Amino acid sequence: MTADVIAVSTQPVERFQPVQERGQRAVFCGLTSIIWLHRKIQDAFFLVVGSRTCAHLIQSAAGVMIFAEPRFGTAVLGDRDLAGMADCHDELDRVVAQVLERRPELKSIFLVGSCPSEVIKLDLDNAAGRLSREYDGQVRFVAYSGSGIETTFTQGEDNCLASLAADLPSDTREESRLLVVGTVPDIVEDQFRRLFSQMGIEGVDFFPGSQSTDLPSIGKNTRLLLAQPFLGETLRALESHGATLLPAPFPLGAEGSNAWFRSAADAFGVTAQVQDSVLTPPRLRAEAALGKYRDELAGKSFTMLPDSQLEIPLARFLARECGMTPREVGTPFFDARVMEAEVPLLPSEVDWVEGQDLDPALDRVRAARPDLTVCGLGIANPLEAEGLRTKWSIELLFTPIQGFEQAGDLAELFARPLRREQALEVGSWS
Amino acid sequence: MELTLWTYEGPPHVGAIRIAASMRDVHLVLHAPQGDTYADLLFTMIERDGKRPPVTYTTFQARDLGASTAEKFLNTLQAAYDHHKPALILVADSCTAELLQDQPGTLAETAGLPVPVVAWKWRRIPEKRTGEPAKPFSTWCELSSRLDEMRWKSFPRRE
Repeated sequence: MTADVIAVSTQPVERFQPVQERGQRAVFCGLTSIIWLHRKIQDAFFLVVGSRTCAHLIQSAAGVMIFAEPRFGTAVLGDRDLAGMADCHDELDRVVAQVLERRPELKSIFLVGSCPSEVIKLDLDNAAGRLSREYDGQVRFVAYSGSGIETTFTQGEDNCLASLAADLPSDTREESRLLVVGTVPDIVEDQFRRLFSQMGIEGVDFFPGSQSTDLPSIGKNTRLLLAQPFLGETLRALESHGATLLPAPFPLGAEGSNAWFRSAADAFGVTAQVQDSVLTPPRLRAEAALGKYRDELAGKSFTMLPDSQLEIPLARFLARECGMTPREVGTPFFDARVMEAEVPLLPSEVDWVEGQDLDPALDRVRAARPDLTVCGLGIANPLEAEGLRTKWSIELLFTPIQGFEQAGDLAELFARPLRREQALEVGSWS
Repeated sequence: MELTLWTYEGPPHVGAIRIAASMRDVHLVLHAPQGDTYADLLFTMIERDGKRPPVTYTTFQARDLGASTAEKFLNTLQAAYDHHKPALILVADSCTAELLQDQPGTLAETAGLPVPVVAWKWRRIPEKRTGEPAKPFSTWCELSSRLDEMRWKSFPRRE
């Protein structure tokens, strides 16, 4: 580990104050979360109530080509809906019936609010309640907002889970149970379950799970472990049921994963001896896997433009475990409660930014010319054309990156663009 | 309301970006909520253009709706001019911005910028056949007629 060679801030979260920017923001809106949420929750349909722009955004962000019929769609508001000439609730009922006719096996439909539905004040919560009664328990309807007015990118998942959290059955059992919160790929979920089980922590629930009907119960004995760093609203919704948060850094890299598992293990009374015997072998494997990429990454500088909310824990991982030097790290918003265990681990002498002002931020990237820039899809190729190497932040949501077994893969994601540069000697496109 | 499962057709304002991107020294200021910047990737990823399209978005959010989105537009307009120094500014709004009725075109024309400002209006959220492909042509017509008008105004006809 490299904690001894990197200046660490060890500052408490109260004193961590990123520079605030309030200009043009090049981020996706929360609708984009549907791309990974619909893959995870396999019996649900995500119905955006929005405009053609919303439909086009999801299609463009989802990887451009979809060959199977997707479990998401858009109820496109027309002139008559917007002018109040049509009853939007009748229209919505008709579209929902159409969806269910095509997909009778669906167990849940998420009604996803958008910028236009919010501006015309279409009450989707009300519609969800009404439709749930109408379909009489056969299909669950849940409303949340994924609009750009309310949410950036990963906040869509936060709003989705916060809405679902309101519906969770209450848990009156006496023994403590662990709930892992945040969408992780199935392969990661399986690995996590195995390690918890080996430490004697059984009956771990994951939220969301792969079936929308299989909701975890929640109560005062529920202990929460966040698997994703963008779930502040979900956390608060779960806490309102009496659940308590286990503070931990996020399970990214060997160090983050180790601290994350140990936080749960401590809370569940697992002895240090058992923790060591279960967690040491995968940690050593992770460190060995990381070692391969460390030589390539150490000493290289990077900038992160705000996009996925993963920026802070990733900057911690890249600095402490890969020996990279963060120049500027931007994040769409900073949630002190969620980042409480991350902040003391963050390197000092980094320009932290909350929010964005795109043009000046790009000027700073051009001036600093970091070895790697982590940024959104719209910005990456222009920077590449200027001879800068980039990594798409959206890949970090689609790729399994959490846990010990993925630590090496995570480092490789950042090593790949640098390696490609060497192999191809790409300097400039022109 | 119309159920849409696939759509390869962008909204009309993407057509406006396309027009701006097809010319030199033209910059588009688009009144649009956060998230509409996804349109950049149509140009930089799908078409693999080596530079961002010449567009600045207001990217307003909930807190701006509580304050003034019109003011946000004017600040964005000025910042876009200062940074990009275009010879001509196009102004448009996306579907949601149009619902707010800030009329960015009128705001921009009276903002006192030292370059011509061309704003145009279109119908509200598109129905069929008013999507992206239909718009570049009408945008181009609007723009060229306005440019022609301006040219005669600023360059008196030589005898």
